[in-house]
Amino acid sequence: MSTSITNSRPICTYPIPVSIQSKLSKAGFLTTGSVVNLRPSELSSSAEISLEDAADVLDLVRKPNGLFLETKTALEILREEQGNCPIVTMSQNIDNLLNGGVPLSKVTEISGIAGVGKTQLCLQLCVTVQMPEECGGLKGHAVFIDTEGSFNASRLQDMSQACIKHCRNSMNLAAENWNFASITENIFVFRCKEVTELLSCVMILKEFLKTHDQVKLIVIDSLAFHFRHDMENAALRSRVLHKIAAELVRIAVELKLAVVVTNQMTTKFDSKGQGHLTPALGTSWGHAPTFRIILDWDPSRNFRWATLIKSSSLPPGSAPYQVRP
Amino acid sequence: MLDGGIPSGRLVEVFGEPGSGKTQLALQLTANTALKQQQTVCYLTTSDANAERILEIMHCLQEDADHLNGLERIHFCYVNDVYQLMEMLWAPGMREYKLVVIDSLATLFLPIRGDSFNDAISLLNKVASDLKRLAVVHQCVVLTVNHVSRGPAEGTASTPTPFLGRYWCSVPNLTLHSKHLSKDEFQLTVVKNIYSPDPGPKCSFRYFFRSRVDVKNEFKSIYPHI
Repeated sequence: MSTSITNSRPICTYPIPVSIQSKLSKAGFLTTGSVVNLRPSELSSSAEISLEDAADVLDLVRKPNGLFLETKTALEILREEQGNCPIVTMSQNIDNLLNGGVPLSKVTEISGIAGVGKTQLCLQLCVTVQMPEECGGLKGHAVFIDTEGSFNASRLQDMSQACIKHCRNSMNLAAENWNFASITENIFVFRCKEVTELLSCVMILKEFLKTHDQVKLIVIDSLAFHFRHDMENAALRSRVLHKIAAELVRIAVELKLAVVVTNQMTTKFDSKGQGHLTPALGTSWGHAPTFRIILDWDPSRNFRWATLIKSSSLPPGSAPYQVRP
Repeated sequence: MLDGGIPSGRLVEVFGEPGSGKTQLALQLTANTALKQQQTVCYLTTSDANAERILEIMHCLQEDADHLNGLERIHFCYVNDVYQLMEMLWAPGMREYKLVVIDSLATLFLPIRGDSFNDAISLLNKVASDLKRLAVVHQCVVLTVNHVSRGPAEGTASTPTPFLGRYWCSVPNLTLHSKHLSKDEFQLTVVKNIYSPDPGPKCSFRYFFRSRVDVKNEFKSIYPHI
């Protein structure tokens, strides 16, 4: 019974190049059943395609169904999720907003106006991900993809010293395993000066992560920069952006690490001509991250707060926080 | 609003802006089908599989039911592109499911549209006919999640349009528009229902979130053997 379903599956539903598909359909091969019992030489002579192409088509068609896409029950996923610890941000309020911190296996977007502190938060996360497990960290490494040139090593030094002091005070940990030198060794920085570099960096990340399997955090600061400055063609920009988004989601889910992306703000006008600030890159990008946070501040009162505008499992809310030297 | 629910054999679409509650609706339907109607559900997702949220919803629906068994009836699968989706739709195991959720269909088409536009339309055509075949032949409900397109300027009186184009608008039997009104309130509007004469009934409701810490502690106390 199941073979009859697969035998009537149209050939056009397989990822075969269009030129070969049209030759196959011209020769009369429309469903799986018509080719599955042929030899490559027979298929190549009747459809007038090369022997390698015929062999590729037969390989695709003969793959048993459902075996290369794995399904998991919700119960198994729940068990896996219970074991995942989020990455703390060292601000109690923001951690409560996110129910523990930046989650693993998901893409989180942080937006805000220029100067509000997105890069600071990213640097902080690069430090906290390396904290030993006794202090609530993950003892993992971090990858920082820098597009704006905002990676600041001296600020990183301040943060690491504060973090080390915090851990030593709260947990009485010895100093030798964890110091500034080891922190900087475990943060891998990629500097991308244009969109093509960013795209290739994201695409080769998977290979990089195979050799560096202790990485638990990937930060892209900021994703919006090149797309807003370099790319004129809107359709190309949308395709490249979504390709990057799909790859980031795939990496986060398969390798169970946290991906943090920063975004800039743009102005949206409603019918009355009133403008309000929203995250840039458009509404279709807005569907890609699982969690979206906007950072905002009021410089006159020195009051900062973070708002959760989209999440899959948490109520929206705001949390005030502070930036301390 | 829907005259009692969604009968089987239908293709339903829910669309809306990001953060408007589409995934929440899909999770709610999934939890209800698995728990109360005790049927298996297949959830094809492009972004994430939120099992804890489903457990939360199940707790809200019925406190003392067998939640673990309900969770076992839900199968998640990550799909990264359209061909993987079609692979899943043609897999022989699909006939067993009573509810198939695709969250979200628009994300699968985002990387390919605009490039070779005719190819994108033909792929959409194939996906649409496969989904309809699944719904009608195997008598299950197929729920697809869609995005909103950047249509006319904000604030005009017309309703927002779903993302996948004019061809796709005629495919589902029931189309719902989801909107986030204020902090806790969401609104669902029926945009198209081929089985009902009056268009546009709305209903608003709230999604109920419990604090994650409570759920985790409760979970550990009820199911210590996990």
